[in-house]
Amino acid sequence: MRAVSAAPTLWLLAQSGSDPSGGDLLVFLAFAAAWLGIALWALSIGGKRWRLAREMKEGGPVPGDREA
Amino acid sequence: VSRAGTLGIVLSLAGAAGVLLTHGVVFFRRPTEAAAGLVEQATYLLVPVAWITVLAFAVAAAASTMYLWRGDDRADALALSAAEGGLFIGAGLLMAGSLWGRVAWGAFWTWEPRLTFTLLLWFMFAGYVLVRNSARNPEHGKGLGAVVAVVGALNLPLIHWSLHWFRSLQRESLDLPPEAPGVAFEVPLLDVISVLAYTGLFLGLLSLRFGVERATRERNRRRQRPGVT
Repeated sequence: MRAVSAAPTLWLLAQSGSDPSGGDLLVFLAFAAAWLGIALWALSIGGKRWRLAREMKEGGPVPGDREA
Repeated sequence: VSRAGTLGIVLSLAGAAGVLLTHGVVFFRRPTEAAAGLVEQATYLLVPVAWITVLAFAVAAAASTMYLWRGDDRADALALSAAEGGLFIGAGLLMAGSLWGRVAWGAFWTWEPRLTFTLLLWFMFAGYVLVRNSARNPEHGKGLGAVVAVVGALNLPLIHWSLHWFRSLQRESLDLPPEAPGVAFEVPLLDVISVLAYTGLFLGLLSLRFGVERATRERNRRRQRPGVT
């Protein structure tokens, strides 16, 4: 798992040349942060769709559900 | 859900493919500049993500205006969907910009006009969601939220024109020396592709979110009608 998470970082550092700096890591984290925002929205939409579909299938209200 | 859902899925997948293509080309084909390094490559991320954040809030404000004018529930559903997307993407943008700024400018945050107005915009739309959800009467909350969204959108021109009106670090960053001829030819096309790809991804997700919101409201309406399941 650690190797999987480290791989893209190492790859990006390799792209930047033989003298990897902390700055490159920060830029990599910037990519991660921006994509995380989009990914979380996508996950949130997926969760809402899934909950709606389950509720319609079961025909009853889901505890904690409310109109947004 | 089906029509908006299908359109949303197609646009999202096309947008995601475009995003992967853009960044793949930037990473593998474009030579990393010795001086700028990955900082320069991050502009292909930050510019389109900033664009879709502003687009999200602009859509929310336009739809809110429509809601205030016509009272159309679909406009309110669109405004909520866009504002929600803007909050998620805007939070990512503010974090990414902050990390990028540490490398480019030497500080995680500066009270530079464009950054400050962008942060203010994010707080305005966080206020939009809070106002909606805290109102006891949902219909009243929709109206109040729409007013907040319209007022918040007054910030959008400030974000755009702040580079021209105020002295800022971003303006100085743009005054870069011209790139090598072979590379410069490729930049505008990649810029356009990256903006289109992220826009497609955003519109796809917005369409999906809008479809879910409409379906949820329709289900709630049916439940409130006696004798209808």
